This record gives sequence, structure tokens and C-alpha cells, in this order.
Amino acid sequence: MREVPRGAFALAALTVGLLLAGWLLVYFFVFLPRGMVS
Amino acid sequence: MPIAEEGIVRSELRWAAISIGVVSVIMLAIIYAGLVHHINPPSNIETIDSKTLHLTGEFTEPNLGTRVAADGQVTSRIVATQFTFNPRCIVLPANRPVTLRFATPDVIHGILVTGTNVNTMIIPGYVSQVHTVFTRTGDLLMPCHEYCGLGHSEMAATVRVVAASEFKPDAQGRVSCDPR
Repeated sequence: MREVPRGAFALAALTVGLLLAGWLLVYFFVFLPRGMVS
Repeated sequence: MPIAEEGIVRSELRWAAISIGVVSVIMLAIIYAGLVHHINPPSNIETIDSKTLHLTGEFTEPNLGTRVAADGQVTSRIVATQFTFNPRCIVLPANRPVTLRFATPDVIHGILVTGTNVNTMIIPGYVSQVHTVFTRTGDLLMPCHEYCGLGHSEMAATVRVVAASEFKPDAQGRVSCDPR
């Protein structure tokens, strides 16, 4: 871990987490309520 | 393996696990939407002769627009052409399964209905078909979303979703935006 600073992990985890959270917000609050399509 | 290198390998593996986790969550969400909410990409494969679709078959002018079949199935047929939809307004009932069928005699078009998951390409030579249930009433904009030429920005239609009580087919089962 000395070669890879903890701060880099924290930053990467935060940005990936925000991206996933944004995706899930759109999925649950925009995509699903728009209804069935096939 | 030197200690420093071991640390890097460990952190790489940790990131691989996180990446697999993120992709798995998204895949499960897509499978859930497909199986439970019936939200799937329209995948109709049906060919049509673009040169003659206005002369013969289901996309001739009298067949365009919304029609209710004898079995109660609501189908709307629309021709997308540079740079308009024919008809430019269709009426559909809310809270009832409907089928939209599209064809084009010229170039690639695409449609979406605002505020819904209806979204498909319209490819010359193929019939695009979308099944859906509209849950909200009102006039929804249906623009062409695939650049089809200089008039593309003017190419839009209206999907008028009405309550079941206001959806009144005529003797032939047709429903149109203009009172006849």
C-alpha cells in the first residue's frame, strides 16, 4: 500500500460510487416509472 | 515477490473486485427491469419493401393511424418520411396495451415518445414495432431523433394519450386526432 496512496483509493472509490449512485437514481426514479416497453 | 509489488497486486485485485461488483449490480438491475417490469429493447425483425409500402399492404394511407382490431388490440401505424410523420397526430388509450408500428420509404429515422420508454430506430426495409402501456394522459411529443436531412428538426408528431372513456373508435375501429 505504500506504493499506492490511500488518498488515491479514497478518491477513486468516491468518484466510482457517485457514478453508480447517479446511475441507480436515474434507473429507479426515471427509467422504471416510465413503464413497460418491448 | 517483493513487498511493494505484493501491495500493488493486492490493490489491483481489490479494484477488479469492485469493478465486477459494479457491473454485476447494473446487469442485475437490467435483468430485473426486463423480467419484473417488462422493459425490454424492441426487437422486432420484420421486413417490408420500402418502394411499395405506400401502394400495397398495411402502410397504405387508409390504414395509417390508430385502429382497434376485432379482438380489442390497439395498433397505430405510422410512416416516417423526410420530413414528417403520417399521420402527424395519433390517439391512443391510457392504461391499455398498445402497439406502435413504423415504416419508412426513404432514409433512417428514429422516434422517442417524451416521458416514456418508447424509443426505436426506423430503418428502410424493416417494420419497427413497439409494445407499451401509456399511464399518463396528455399530448406527448414524438420527435425524429435520428438526423435524416435538412428538415430533420421540423420532423415531429403528437401522441395524444386519452382516458379510456374518451377513446372512441368509429365503426371501422379507427380513432384519429381530427374529429370527422
